[in-house]
Amino acid sequence: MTLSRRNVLKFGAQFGVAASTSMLWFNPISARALEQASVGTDYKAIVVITMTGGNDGNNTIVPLDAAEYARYASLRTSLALPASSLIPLASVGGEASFGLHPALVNVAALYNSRRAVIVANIGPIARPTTKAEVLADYTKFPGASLSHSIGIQQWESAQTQTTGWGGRVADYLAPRSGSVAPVLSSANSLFNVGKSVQATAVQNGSAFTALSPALNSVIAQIAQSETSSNNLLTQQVAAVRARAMRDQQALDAAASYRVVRTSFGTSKFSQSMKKIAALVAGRSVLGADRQIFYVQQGGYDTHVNQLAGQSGSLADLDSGVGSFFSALDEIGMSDNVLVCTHSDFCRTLQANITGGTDHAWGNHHFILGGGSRGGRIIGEMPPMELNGTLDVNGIGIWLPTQSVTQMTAGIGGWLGLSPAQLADVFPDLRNFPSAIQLS
Amino acid sequence: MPLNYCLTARRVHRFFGTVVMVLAFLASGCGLSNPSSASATTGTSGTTGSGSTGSTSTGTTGTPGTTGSGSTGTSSVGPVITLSPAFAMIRAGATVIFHASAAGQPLLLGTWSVDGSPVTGAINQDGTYIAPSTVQGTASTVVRFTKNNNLATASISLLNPVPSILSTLPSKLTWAKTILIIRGSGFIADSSVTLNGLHVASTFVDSTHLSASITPPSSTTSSVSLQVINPAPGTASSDPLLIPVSGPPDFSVSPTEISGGDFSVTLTRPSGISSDMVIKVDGVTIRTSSTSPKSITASGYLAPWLTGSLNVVLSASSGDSNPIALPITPTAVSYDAAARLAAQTVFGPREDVIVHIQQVGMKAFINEQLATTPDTYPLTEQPRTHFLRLVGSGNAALRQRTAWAIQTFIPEQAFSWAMSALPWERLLEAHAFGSYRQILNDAATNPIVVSSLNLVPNNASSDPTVHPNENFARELMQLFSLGTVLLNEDGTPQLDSSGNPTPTYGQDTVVNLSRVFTGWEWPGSWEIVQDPVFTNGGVDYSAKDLMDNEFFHDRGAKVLFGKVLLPAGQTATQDRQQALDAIFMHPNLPPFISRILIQRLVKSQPSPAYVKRIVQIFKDNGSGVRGDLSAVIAAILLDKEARAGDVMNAADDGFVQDPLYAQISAMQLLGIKSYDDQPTYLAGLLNENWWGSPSPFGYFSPSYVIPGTRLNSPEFQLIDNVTLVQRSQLLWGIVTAAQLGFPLTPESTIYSHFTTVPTMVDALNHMLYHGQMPESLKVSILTYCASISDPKLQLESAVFLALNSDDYTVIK
Repeated sequence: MTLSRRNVLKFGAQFGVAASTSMLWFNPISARALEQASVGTDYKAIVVITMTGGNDGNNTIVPLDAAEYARYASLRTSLALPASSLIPLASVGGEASFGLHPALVNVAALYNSRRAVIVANIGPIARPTTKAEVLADYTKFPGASLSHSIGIQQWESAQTQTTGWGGRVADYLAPRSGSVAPVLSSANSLFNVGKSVQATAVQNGSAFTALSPALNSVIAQIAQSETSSNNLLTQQVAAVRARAMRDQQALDAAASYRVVRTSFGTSKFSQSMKKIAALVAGRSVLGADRQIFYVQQGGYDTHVNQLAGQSGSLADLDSGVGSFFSALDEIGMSDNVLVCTHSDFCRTLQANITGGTDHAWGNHHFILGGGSRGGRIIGEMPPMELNGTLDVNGIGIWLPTQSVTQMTAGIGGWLGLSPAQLADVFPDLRNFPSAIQLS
Repeated sequence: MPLNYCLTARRVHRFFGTVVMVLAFLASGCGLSNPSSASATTGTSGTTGSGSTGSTSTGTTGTPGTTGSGSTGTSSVGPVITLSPAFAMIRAGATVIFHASAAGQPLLLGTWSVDGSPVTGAINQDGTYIAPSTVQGTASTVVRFTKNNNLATASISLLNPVPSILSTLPSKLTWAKTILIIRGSGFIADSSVTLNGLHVASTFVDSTHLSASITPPSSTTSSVSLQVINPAPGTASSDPLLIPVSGPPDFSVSPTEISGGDFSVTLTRPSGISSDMVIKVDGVTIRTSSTSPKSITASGYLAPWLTGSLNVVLSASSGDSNPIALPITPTAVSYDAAARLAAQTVFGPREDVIVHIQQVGMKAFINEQLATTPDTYPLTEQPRTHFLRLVGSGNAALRQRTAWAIQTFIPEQAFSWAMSALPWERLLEAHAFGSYRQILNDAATNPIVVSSLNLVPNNASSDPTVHPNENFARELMQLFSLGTVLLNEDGTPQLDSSGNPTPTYGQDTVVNLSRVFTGWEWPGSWEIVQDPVFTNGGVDYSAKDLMDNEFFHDRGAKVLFGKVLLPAGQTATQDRQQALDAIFMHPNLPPFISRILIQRLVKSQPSPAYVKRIVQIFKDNGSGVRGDLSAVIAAILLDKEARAGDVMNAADDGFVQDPLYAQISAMQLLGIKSYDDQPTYLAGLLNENWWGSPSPFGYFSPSYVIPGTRLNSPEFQLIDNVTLVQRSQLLWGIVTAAQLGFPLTPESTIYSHFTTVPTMVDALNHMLYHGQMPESLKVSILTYCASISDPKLQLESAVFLALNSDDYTVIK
């Protein structure tokens, strides 16, 4: 094989000599020169956005069909969004019509230009499940706990317990992620944790400021030696530190490699998306052609005053996502990067007495970009009725009709995992007819 | 050779389980492998195959016939062999000659060997056995004599050698403490040394050298008697050696013993003090503060971890006087153990607290802390600033520590208006050593805590299109009291037959509890009298309770946990009381809360047995009281598992410093007690905006597991490869005063008394690492500091590297 720069990096990563080769790209000039040698044209990355707190899907995607909207409005009472405020989604064929929350301007535009899909009534279920089964013994359904911590854990692990689906996919992608871990994360999450992979943390600015190179060097040396401490916790902290001293320099070099001109908002989320765009632009510096980014965006636990709270959070989400796709267009990577949303759970269709909603189950989510076949809703939106076949307790807690596994395995397939690899990463997949199809 | 064959066979045996049958037979057919099987093999026909041919055609090896030691050779072939002596007791290093005979005639030309693996001692082919130089492990062995397939054995008991003293260095003693090197022979690791019949501390160097720390008794006249004693087997003493002691010093010292820290000594010399005289302590001149014709007073600093005694001399230009040994007052507990308890109770190496613990002991210190009255917070200072002040110099730091422990899982989401944070902290400090039932009540009544969970304005719903808000009901159980899964009394989850945990409560209990907590309004909204300092937007955040409004309370019956009935028609207060009682009595409460408190104070991964011991105290403090936090905190700190690390840390010991702890422990080490509000913002830069939690989930989860491991480490949730790098930057900023609001402290204990890198590293070893700093870290620090020329930067770098090491990031 020709020892292209990328191959050198892969060699380094595989054989544990990354530290020596990585010295090359601590110097941006060397990195620029080397980039001429080879750039991956098969680059693919995903960005998983967890909307923390449990986004109310019922006010994110709203039926516009007149009869269904009327039922929605009567059941949601004070929380119902006016039909006129919703952004209509272009419907395909004779499908029912829906509208998006008025804050989701950019997301709606992506959908209407067939660059985004909606996944309807999806949630953590290990196999197709009926309401009767849930009512018989809810303790068998972790998703029915409606707890924040368990909801997040179910989503980010795709219904396993100790590893995240991002990390498990990354276990297979590790040889293709260059000099840093295949999961680059701006928040601590189970999602990031694989059987072998652990994430590299990303922050909006640089981690390095004041310490002299000599002091950094002795810190790294002490950390390396303490990875074999006799104390188990010291070993773990030192291992993170030893890697940090190397990875953070590499990430700084990658993020500053190419100027991305698209402007982003000033919120923490928008700035995180900006950093991800910069790292995609600088991917050659890391030698990566498969990457998984993870970011959190919050404010969705709307037990009170939901109308204002959710609107602000969705606007922040929409702004960051909109800028991100503009940036991807700018650097020509729109079809190479796929974005999807996660959240703890949906919220009750029925409002509570404090102008908010409480924890529920099946929810609606977005998959954007990545060249997928957009402008469609995958799965069935639940009918607007309480105590129906999909409401497990009479206040609008949807029993999911699609599993987290089906969505996440579809994304794993998009990243190029083989059927056997998908079966390994997503153990519940065999309980369902198929993963969702993105193309 | 049979020996080789058998050893090979046994090795194979170990690796290949499938051939155990055959090989076990071979092994048992080989007498060498098991001395006790000798009689069993005696009767077998050991006739085939000489050792040289190695024939194994029959499947049995050519086992020599054996006899008992010197006894009758029952059914063996050939004459009975007798060894003499049949039994010998031999000193280590000594020799004994064995003789073999048969029918009264000496036997020659047999094979002598020594039993055992490894072989103990050695034997020549003339029968001379040489005992090993030391006795290790079993103190007995067997020698074998083999001739013409006949075997005889003799047993040997090994005894420790007889020690002997040749000389000492120095050869004369003074009245001062001296490290004495003893030369001689027959020394062993267990040798002990006596001076005038009294044991003194000694160290084994090798078989011809010991060292001992000697202080002659004050009654000594002209000599002392030194002896070395070896213990059993074969207990033996050396002849005593008389060591001359030079004359007593011509001065007296006052006081007659000293304690760690600043000290002052006065030497009185009847023959007069000359102007060039100074006092030297352990070779170092200390500062003279006054002199008179017959006495001199000087002061110095004694590192509080030193023990034993100091040598004091009067030094003049003509030379040093005879020295006098000045004993260091023994303390109730060692400095290192006290420093470790301080790390668990007062956020790190606060010097005055450590010295106090040394003096009064651990139990007394904890009892003192439990008996403190809560501090008052002045309204003229930001509460968080005052918290740092109290932790650094107050008298009730265990209260602040316990309050912070509870703040991590019953967090307040104080807003930017600083005073809003104080009422919850004051409540926790006031009730930190009270009943957990009170804490539950506080969590259900404090405006700041309930505001983030919407307890106000949750009301009964008469409108079928809306339901009560579930937020407070759910998190009260999940976060503040019970957790999501049922626990055993040792804190482990109860698993069903398929290995799955069982939920603590169902959605039905959440719904019922959400109806319990209806009808509460903000204090202040109707009241005329409010505390204006704590009133914001019409809400008095310092109020003792919310205001009930029965009109909005759901008066229907409620059922909790499937069995606790709250009857219809009760008031909001009655319902709340009974619901909190039900939670307080729930069997999950003791293990859930006990384990979290252990994690906060001592270690992230307590053994189930440790948790269970604390749970018993939580259930009953000994006087039939449940949930007594003072008993629980004391039991957690004094538990044998908590204290085992005072001697040696275990692999699973410790907790990762959360950012606030890391900051405070650095401030304790540096003695930073004067600052503005800036330091209160530092931990927030590391994702721990204390007292201003971003969510009801606090700063980290008690059940957080380090990715890719099974290690439970809550604070690790705040560790990643960005925040660790940032933490280093901030620590460097604290140490060098580059970080806003952190002054340099040249007046501190550490900078004023430890002015060279080696003494600084020694101090850091005791103050931060309670004497267990790894040697490799010491070397790294010394090496790095040697590469720096600026002495101030050298010391700052040493302090920084000791604080920044992950051996210290994990407080053990």
